[in-house]
Amino acid sequence: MQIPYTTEARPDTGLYNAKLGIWLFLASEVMLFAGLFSSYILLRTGAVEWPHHVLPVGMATANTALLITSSMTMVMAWEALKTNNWSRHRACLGLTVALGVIFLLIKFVEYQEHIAAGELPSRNTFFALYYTLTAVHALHIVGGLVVMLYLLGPGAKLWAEQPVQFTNRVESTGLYWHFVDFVWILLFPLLYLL
Amino acid sequence: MRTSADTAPDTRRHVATFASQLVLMLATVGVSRLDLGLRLGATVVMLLAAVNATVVAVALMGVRRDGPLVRLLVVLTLVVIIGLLVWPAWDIATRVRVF
Repeated sequence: MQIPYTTEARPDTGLYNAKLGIWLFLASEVMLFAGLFSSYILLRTGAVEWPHHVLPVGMATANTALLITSSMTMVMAWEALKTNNWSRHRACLGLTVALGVIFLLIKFVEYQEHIAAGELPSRNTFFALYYTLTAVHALHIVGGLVVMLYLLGPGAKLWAEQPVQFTNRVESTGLYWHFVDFVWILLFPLLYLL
Repeated sequence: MRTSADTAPDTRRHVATFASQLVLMLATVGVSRLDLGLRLGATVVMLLAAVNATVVAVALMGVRRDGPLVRLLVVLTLVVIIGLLVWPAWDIATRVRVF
């Protein structure tokens, strides 16, 4: 059975349904991360002592720059579809995926270094929070990459049949990806700089 | 559907957004290296990060562009976030210190 899909904005919400759906999903995601941030503040301010500058700022700064760049390429991928520039869309979306993968690789190297130094979550509250917050964020990166790989692979054929629907899918994916960038921009100073 | 002529100003806007985000990121790292004390340093660093995150929400996610329902959703979400952050802050401020 074909699920009916409306590409036009509804007059009552001003949004097409998928976009309203992704915004509601992001609102629920905010609750998850706000809860984690709140736990961080509570545990940090209640701690007798707190380790400072024990995480690699250089790697995290590079990762921040990567995510900021990937948000930019994601917007360009969506805009390329709006101007019917398919090859530019593919290049920009491919670049976004590549930047996301590099982010995860840097995160993997970072984890490896800490694990080799015996800095596991059981070591102290700081490392427990560090692994929890960054791993939850990294899982969100993986989720975004899976969707983008689908849009680059089997999902791409929708462009020929339903170009507006495909463009909406890319826009919704972009909203999610920007949100992942948004969360990292707040996580980065909290864990690495303060 | 827009024409290709419409893309030029958007590209400039995105480049400006990208550049401002990188500058804000570097400023955040730079300020964290200054000896401002924990309270002032943390305030300035998180303020810069919040501005950077706001740039993402407004310029890239289109919070203002997407209409009143999205703005309402964002405001309600902010209320919950502030609640979640103020609650522990209030608890800590009124807690008897034993150490």
